[in-house]
Amino acid sequence: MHSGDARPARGSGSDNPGDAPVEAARILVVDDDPALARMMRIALRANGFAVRLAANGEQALERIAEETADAILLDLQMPVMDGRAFFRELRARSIETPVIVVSAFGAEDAARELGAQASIAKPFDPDRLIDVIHDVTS
Amino acid sequence: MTQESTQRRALPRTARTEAETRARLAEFTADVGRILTESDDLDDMLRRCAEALVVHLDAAFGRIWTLDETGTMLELRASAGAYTHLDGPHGRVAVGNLKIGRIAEQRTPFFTNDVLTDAAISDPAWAAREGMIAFAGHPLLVGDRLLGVMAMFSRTPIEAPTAFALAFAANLVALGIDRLRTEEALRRQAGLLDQTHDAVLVWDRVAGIQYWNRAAEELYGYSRAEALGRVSHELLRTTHPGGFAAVAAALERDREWIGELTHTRRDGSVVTVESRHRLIREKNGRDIVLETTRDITERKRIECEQQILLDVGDALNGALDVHSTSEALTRALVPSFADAAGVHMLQPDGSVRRIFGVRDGRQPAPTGSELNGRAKHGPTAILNGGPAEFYPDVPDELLAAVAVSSEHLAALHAIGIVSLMTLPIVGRDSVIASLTLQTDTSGRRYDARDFAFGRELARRAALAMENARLYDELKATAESLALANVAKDEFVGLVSHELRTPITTIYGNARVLKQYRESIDPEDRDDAIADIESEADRLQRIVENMLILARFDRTAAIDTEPVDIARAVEAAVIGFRRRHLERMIETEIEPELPFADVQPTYLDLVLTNLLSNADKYSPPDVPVEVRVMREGAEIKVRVLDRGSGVLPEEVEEIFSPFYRSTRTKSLAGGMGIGLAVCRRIMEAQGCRIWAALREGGGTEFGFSLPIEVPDA
Repeated sequence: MHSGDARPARGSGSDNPGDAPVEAARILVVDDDPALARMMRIALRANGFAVRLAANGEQALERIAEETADAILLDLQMPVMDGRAFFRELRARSIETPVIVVSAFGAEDAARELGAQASIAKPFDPDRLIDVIHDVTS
Repeated sequence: MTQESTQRRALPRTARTEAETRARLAEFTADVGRILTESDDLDDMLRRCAEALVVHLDAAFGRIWTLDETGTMLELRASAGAYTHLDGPHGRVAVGNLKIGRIAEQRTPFFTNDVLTDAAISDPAWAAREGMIAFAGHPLLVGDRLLGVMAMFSRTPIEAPTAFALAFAANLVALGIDRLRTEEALRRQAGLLDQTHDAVLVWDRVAGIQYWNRAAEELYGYSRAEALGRVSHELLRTTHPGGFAAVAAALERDREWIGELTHTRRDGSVVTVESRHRLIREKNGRDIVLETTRDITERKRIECEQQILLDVGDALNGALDVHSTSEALTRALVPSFADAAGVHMLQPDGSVRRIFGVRDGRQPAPTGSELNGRAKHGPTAILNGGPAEFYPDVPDELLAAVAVSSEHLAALHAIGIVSLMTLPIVGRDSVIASLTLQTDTSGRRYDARDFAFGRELARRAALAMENARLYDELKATAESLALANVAKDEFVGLVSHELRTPITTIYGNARVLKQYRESIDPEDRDDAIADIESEADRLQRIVENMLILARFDRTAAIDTEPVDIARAVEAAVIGFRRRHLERMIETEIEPELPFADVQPTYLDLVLTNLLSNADKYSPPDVPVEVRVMREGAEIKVRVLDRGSGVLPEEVEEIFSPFYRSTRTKSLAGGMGIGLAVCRRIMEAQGCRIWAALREGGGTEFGFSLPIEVPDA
């Protein structure tokens, strides 16, 4: 229900780095590692995305309830509610936002198993992250 | 006929009265009759008959020929009177030749009192010279069968009564020849029966055993003389399948019975035979039984042994441990090879365990001193490395040695043990068990071959038990490998996560800084630089921990030095705070602590690991406490949190490498190596480390350090 009105992000970051355009795509980063989450936020913002962070599945559900997203970057191993549980809960709530599994181990398998739209294995190049987001939101 | 001078001359003819003549002829026929009944040798009989012709009938000489097997030649067998030689022209006369041959051919007697003129006489000149007057020749016939010719020459006329007596005698002699020939044929046939390997006996219900050949003598050990007249199934203690009545019924119905029997030899041993009984009804209505038996004891034994080996093989193949192997073995051996079988095994606690198979579900023999550790006989002795034991007959002394009381001895006697063997079951390295085989109610007596067979069984059991043991080991190894594999997979996953996450952060930040150096938000830029630094530090610590874990797997000793613990703890806490700005840490350090003997770099690592652990599992708003104090000759350092605590069963396991509590796994990431590293480091320095449930909730991790004693 959200994927339909996803707005493609534009690579306008270099012109207007800190200030994402109104129509910027909204990305929810779900990762318990604050440093990694920050890095993804910096990279995405530099590419014109609007980014919010959640440290676990529970927080992520809260963020989604507040405001929809155009794509979710999802870590698997997290305290409180892990990535798999979050994904199932998300879909159980009929929220069809595209999900990209981000993991150091078995990301692709987990994505296939869950039915997530894409996966990206750590370590990764930030440019690759941007490409994958473009793929799932276009 | 060749002339020959003989010493015996016929008496000169003298006139005899009719009464005298009758008496002489009666004497002649009586004599011939006696000869025929007395003589059991053909040549002896014929010679004596020829002599009777001379003695009683005044023959100059008398001769008897018999027809040979071809039926074409007459052979001179007896000659008495003037000529006694058996060779010469009349030694062999073809049927149809000469006067004798013609008598045979025509099967008609020839008689003349005028030999000088009779055309039938071939050599009248000889007759004249020798004064021969009369000749009488008779074919020897039984029914239609020609057996020979009997003839005589006489120097006096042969009168009618004499001729008549001669004819009568010829018939008797023919019967005599026939009887002896039949007997000879029978003897020859009986001789042939003696040549056969099969025991042949003939018996009837009235007169017992009538015939007993040489093979029967050899097979059963009874001579012909001992066997004749005995009741065969009494003599041989025959056991018939289904009883003798079944055999008798089959004989009555089919006139024949073929089957397997057991007989007992003269020496008491039992022989299994394949037997064929043939009922022959004689003319007088009497039934005789011709029994031929062939010893198949060996064949049966081989069959039986093969069957037992197959059964044992099947039983052992299915068994997967020493215990079930033993059960299968004893089941397979009773009752086919033993009336009772037992396997004894030494248990880890030194006791002996026994497993039985006993015929007909009886109770096993009560155990006696043979299971005593110092026993000289029996299973325990064998389990202690003693040799195999074999008693074809169980001596009373053995029972007495084994019995522990007079009641026990009586019980052992009551079982009636016939034979006994106890064999070691030897594995690759040592005696695994002992196998005891016993016979009693079956009456079977083990011989040397049974003992060898028993050894073979023990050898196969050993292989099966060894295989079972290897299987167990293999299974355990496979299980531990499977577990190790799961642990390895988990470890690889954890390492991937733990290493790749900081690498991703460092690499990603570096790329963003390079690509958007000037355009990104200054705050983001500062974050990126700080994260590169702290993640590199984190990476370094992870690698350090893993290296320590690997290193302390191989070596233990760590060089220590006197360290000011208060300063070292403060430095570690400050370092940790710098990386975890939001974490509240309260320290409580006893003043004026002495130095402790410790390796300072490792001490810092241990403290950092414990702080990191406490940080991960505690609520963010409750401070982690660090307390350092002197207790006796030690300085104790405690890191206390208000997390979910530790279960009593976890206090040891929590220090194992890669251990992650299933309760708290979801609370935080990590490889489960931090605490393991702490323990390795502390123990390598001879220090104690512990985990305990903290009063009021949470966990206490602590370690103790020895106070440094300055060199005197």
